[in-house]
Amino acid sequence: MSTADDREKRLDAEIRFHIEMATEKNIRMGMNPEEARRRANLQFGAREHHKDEARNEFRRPFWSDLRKDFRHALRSIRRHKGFAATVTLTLGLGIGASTAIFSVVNAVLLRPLPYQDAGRLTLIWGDMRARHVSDFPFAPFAYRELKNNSPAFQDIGAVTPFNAPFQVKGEEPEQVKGLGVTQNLLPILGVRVIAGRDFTDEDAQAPPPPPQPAPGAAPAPVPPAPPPPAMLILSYGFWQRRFGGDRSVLGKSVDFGGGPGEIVGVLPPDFELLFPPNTNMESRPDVLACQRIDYERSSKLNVFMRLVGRLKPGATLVQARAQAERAATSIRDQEQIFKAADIHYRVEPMHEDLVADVRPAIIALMGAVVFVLLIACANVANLLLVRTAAREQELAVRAALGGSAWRIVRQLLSESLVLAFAGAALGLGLAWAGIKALIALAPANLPRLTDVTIDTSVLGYVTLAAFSSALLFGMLPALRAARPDLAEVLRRAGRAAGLAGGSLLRQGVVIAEVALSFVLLIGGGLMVRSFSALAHTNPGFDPKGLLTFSAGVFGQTPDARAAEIRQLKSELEALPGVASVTGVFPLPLDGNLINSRWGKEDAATDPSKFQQANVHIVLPGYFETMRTRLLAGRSFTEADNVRTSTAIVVDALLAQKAFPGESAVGKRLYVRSRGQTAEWLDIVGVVEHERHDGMVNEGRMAIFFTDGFFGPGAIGTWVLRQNCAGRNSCHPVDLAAPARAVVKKLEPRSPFALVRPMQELVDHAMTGTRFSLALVGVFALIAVILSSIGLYGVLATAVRQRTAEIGVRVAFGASAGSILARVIADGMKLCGIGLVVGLLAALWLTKAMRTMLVQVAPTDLPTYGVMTLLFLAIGVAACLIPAKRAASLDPMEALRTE
Amino acid sequence: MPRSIESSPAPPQSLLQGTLDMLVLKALRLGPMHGWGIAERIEQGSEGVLEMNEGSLYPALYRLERQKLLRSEWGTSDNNRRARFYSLTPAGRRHLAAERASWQRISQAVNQVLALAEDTQ
Repeated sequence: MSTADDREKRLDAEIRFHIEMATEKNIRMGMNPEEARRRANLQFGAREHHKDEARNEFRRPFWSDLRKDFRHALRSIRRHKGFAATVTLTLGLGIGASTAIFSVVNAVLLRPLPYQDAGRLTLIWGDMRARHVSDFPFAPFAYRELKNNSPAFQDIGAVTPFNAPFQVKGEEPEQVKGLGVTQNLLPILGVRVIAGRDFTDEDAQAPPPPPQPAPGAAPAPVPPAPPPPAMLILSYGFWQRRFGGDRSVLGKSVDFGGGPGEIVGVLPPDFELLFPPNTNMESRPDVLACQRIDYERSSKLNVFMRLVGRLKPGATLVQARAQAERAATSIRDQEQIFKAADIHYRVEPMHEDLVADVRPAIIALMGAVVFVLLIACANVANLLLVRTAAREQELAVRAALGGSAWRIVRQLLSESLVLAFAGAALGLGLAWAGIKALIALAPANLPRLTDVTIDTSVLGYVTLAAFSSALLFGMLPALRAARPDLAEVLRRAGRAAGLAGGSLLRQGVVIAEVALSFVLLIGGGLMVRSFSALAHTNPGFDPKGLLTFSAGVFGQTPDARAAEIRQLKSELEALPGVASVTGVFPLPLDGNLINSRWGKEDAATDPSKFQQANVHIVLPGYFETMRTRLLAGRSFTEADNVRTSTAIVVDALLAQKAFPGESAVGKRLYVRSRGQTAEWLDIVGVVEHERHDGMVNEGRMAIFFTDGFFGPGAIGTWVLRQNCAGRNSCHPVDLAAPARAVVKKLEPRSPFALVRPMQELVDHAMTGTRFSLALVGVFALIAVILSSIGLYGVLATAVRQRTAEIGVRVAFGASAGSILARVIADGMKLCGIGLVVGLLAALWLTKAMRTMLVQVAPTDLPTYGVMTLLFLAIGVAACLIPAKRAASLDPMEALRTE
Repeated sequence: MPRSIESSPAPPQSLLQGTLDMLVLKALRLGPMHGWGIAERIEQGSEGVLEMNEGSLYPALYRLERQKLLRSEWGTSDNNRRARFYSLTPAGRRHLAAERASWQRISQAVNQVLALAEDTQ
């Protein structure tokens, strides 16, 4: 059409003409001119309103209709504030919960890793198929073999976690968490230092081997050259904390890990090394140290390197895997022990590998919140159905008078959209608060959790959720309204209009709702069972009253170290409030791991008979201090704490595996623990299994050695048991300060670090399950509340509609009790159908929860039984109010409503 | 029956909208006419029973023109004044024929509603 100005002129001209004509007509009919004009204007009606409507017709019809629809929607919502608030709150809960979880999905599963071109990064693992170990680290020679023979990789780097003392001359030593890396690790990740320089090939140069005296010649008179310093790149956080961001520390010499070190660079603030949690890799290390590895001389059995590889552009995972397999074949041929273990190399995309453990749990949670959202939508759909039913007559008349079905659908849908977006806004607020709670609650094995925020993807999700829920809950009522059976509705005008069909629909929605929330309730029940199983799991020691900390001894000779340990132990024991003291490495549940191989008689000739066990090095008295039960034989004595001892203690798992049905005490094991070759050792005792890998999994069997057997000083962690007698509760942390004073006095070079009550480690090992429990529990609770509101709503409406019928029944002598029973039975019928559907769905869907469950099967009968009863009780409660109302109806009153 | 759930009366002009469109098309079947003339024809046609807010005619005319059921051009009225004349398009004729068929049924329904509504009040 023409311009807005032309249109305006045309409109004015037409109206002017109209009024003039009307005025003239009125004058012809005998009115005076003034009266004639007044009547003409009156007859025309609200002129500005009509002009406005006419202008709207000029506009692009879609947008003008849309504007009208939304204006209408807002009006209608303003008129029904209570309704709008209920809907907004319901949707807000649903959208909020699902948005919070989606933000986790987004951060953990969807968003790429924070490295350059992260899609080409891979992690490479040793897979010892004969020993069922699939995350074995690499020895330097194997790393080099793989790196040099895998052209599909642009480069492969290696990393090793460590804790080491770090000391600036003249200042306090401090324990730092660090990563030993190959010089190429940062370029592989695509990370650049922000100050100083990257590592170079020289930084990785191994010191020359001690000169071999030529045969017959006298030993060289020159003393061996001092070892070259370890080159260090500091993390931004450590640089700020320790040196206040001072650039002059670049090039500074420090004492590091008992040798010289030199600071060469600083990492960017956001640097994070993401590795699966079982590798004990420090994701935010204080220090990166460039490892000086002598690939020629390093032991082939010294495995410590974790590999990160970057694929060449265009190279495929399949190629990389084939090349890694060729390297593994070569390794198996080179070293008998790897052949026996049947080593293969596993190349996995880094992102997938990182989240492999948590992916099923996150997806199960996402499923749970989608259910919550669906239930919320079902409730809102029900509310809307009730409302549309009441408006049915209005809508039917409108349809009869030419309002197109599409217009009516659109009008109702725009109302739904406005409601949905109000819900989404509330949901976003709830999600924002929820995310904070999530981060506080989350377990350590959820990688990248700090990245969980509301970003554009999350906002996109909220928008999508709002749109689709508006469609979901709005479409059903809208379609019903648009296609009412005209004659039917109109015939029934004035009576309870057309509710029969609507109520069938509403009943269907309620059944779906009950089924959905029952599934969630089952999920919640399974989590509660898991958590209670976990809380009752015996860790194999008594954590109450135990304080742990790490401290080392630095004597040059074994005797000196043994003396230092004895003195440290006796001074710690002398502290007031200390019941006993022991030392261990690694401490149960602290994440560190030492492997060892053991076999029986046949392993001496056939290396494939070896099996893998965890090793713990302990001081005599360890089991007594930890209160780990001795099942057979004896525990270690001071006499076992020497290099020449052959005494070992094994746990019940190993005893059972090695000597099923007989006593392990007195038997021999062929064990490789210290040195390159295995040796025969004697089992003197069997203790109960200590949880080491975590509280969820039973973990691997263990062998215990004495500290003296390894050469004194192998223990790194001290454990103090507080004397809790006569106290209400234990406060092992009280022992920290006096213990620190003892360590500082006797071992001034030693850090006093990682001070934790043992209970903290046990609790930490349960956070994963507690997290899932809290989440699934909250979702189940929301779901149950929503669905009982839904059930109540439908029954309340049904009772209202049947007021007259109930009145007749009462008039004919039906007792209040029988009415009550009838209404409850109606409600419970819906509830029952929903329960059966939900039961079947739960049996199928809870399989997805398997990884979140502890010692509970997804088909756990008690959970299903209790939850069914609980749900029935909730159902009865939801039916009770409408039923009571029906039972107390006055028949005369009720009949009059017809 | 209890009226806890409110049934909102629709604004009158939207109640009439579909009907008005029909009446306009019908009025133009007699030949091209300006807005005032159309209003007159409708009023005469209903023998004064259907009293309407004349202003609501214009949004209806513009809407029908947008839907290409009508076209309009400037012309001169009987008393020699400039006026906008509307006429039916072929599409408008077809639409009218189709609508006429259902009109009978609908008006009957409306009568019924009105009658029943009176009964219950």
